[in-house]
Amino acid sequence: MKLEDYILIRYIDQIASTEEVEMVDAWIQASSENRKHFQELLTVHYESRHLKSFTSFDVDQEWEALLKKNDLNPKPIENRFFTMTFVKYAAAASLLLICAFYFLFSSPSKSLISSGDQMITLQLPDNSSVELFPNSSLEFDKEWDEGDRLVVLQGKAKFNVRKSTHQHFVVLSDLMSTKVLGTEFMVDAYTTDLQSVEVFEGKVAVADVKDKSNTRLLNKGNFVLFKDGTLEDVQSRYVEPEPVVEKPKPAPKPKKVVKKKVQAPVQKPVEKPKPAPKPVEKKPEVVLSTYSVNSVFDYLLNNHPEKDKFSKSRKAKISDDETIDLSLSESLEKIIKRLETKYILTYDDEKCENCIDLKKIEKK
Amino acid sequence: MFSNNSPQNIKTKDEFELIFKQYFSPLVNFVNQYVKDIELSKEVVQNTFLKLWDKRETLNIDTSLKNYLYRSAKNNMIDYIRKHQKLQIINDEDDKLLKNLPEEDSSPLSPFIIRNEILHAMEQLKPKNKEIFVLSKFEGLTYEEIANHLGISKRSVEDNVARAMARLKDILKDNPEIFK
Repeated sequence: MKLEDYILIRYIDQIASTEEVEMVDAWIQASSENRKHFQELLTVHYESRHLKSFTSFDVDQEWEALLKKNDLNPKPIENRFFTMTFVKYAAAASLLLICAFYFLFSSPSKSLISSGDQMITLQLPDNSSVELFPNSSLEFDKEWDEGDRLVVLQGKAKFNVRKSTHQHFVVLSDLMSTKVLGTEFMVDAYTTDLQSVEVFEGKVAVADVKDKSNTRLLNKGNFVLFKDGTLEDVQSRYVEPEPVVEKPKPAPKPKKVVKKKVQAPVQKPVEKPKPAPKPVEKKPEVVLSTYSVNSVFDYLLNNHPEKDKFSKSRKAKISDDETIDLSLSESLEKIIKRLETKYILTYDDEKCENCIDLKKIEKK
Repeated sequence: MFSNNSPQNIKTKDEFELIFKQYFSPLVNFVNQYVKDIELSKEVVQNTFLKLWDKRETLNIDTSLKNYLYRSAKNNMIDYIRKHQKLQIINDEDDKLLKNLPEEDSSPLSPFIIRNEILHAMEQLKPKNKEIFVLSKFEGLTYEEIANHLGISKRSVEDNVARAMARLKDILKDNPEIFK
């Protein structure tokens, strides 16, 4: 006997007539198959009433988020050459060709890793790790036996370099060569207008690729901009960037190190950087990009030395649709100022003098 | 795709990815019952999976993967809550609830897995069926209220709900997580 499902549902919803109830009871008794059928409908009915409070996630996105925490891939990296689209490859290749022709083709055993539109973490032959930002690529020898540990960067990456007493680690971008004597730093070479190197740990030497004698030495907390064809002076993270000075030609400069104690990020800088050697001719042009506000916090958490102090701030979330224009190469203070123009940030000051512990973020 | 494999069978990242995608939503919803903060719940579940991945080679368990994940997420959650107690994620009532968390034998994760699967299966419903099903089950409207709201007969509402449920049941029929 086949019973219409809608009668079973009426029965489950307890709106069936006496006649229907008798019919269903008899039907359920008739066979184990019927009982199973009824039981299954009952499960769907019961569980679907809890769906309103059930949160469904985009598991593909969550999987990517997990991979950002841990690439689950301790083995040496694979050649992801073919994951790049042809166009991206062509663009990257043409730039790489110009910058590092001899380097690219001097050896057949190269790896070219491209991040696509995701941020990826990879390991280099010496076990140094690299966070490769979206739309970036990194090229290097599969084995580093002797000589410098050379990588060619297109785009932006954060490096955590294993110390080696006999092999320098060198990052080559189209404008700059960054030689590493220490451990943790970031190179932003997305555009040719503005490139930057920022040091989180240890010491780094940055040189103009066209003029190797034009070098800057950076310590922890320093950053340097390569702007409008000029390798600028070293700046300290919590100091407002100096106004750009137009320089007729990038003449070799003496090494200059601005040492500055890292201050509490929300405090005002105690002193201004050394005045520019030439009269100020134009205001700084910081290249602003649009970021989701939440990703800015993620960035601050992962990339600032005060990151511990941000750890609780991840609770302060705002809608993923919220975006803000800023440059991540700016100082923390500046980034926060920009956020504060659009949002009300509430801090938790308890037991935490030097912390940034965001309690709440609200739109103004 | 649906399996009760124990973790020692996780050999590749692909296998792990499947398991992650199958269980992520149910686990987060389960943890969120107690933690009541979706971001923290996600973090607890992420860590549960990362631990599973780290231990995949040495893990030897005598229960199903589902129960293993339940137990592991539960322990992670309790650790997490203890560490963050000053954040006052939980109140006394929740604390009682936590102490009375069901043992794994009763498959406390199953309802969450079923709900997750129903949500996915709903994507295959006809739009009209789905709309009426949502009004009935999610919003808790009576058939009469739905009929008035949509300007159709009560019988037509009943029919749509019945069709939706029968269709969902058919889609879910082959899923061992749901109908054993």
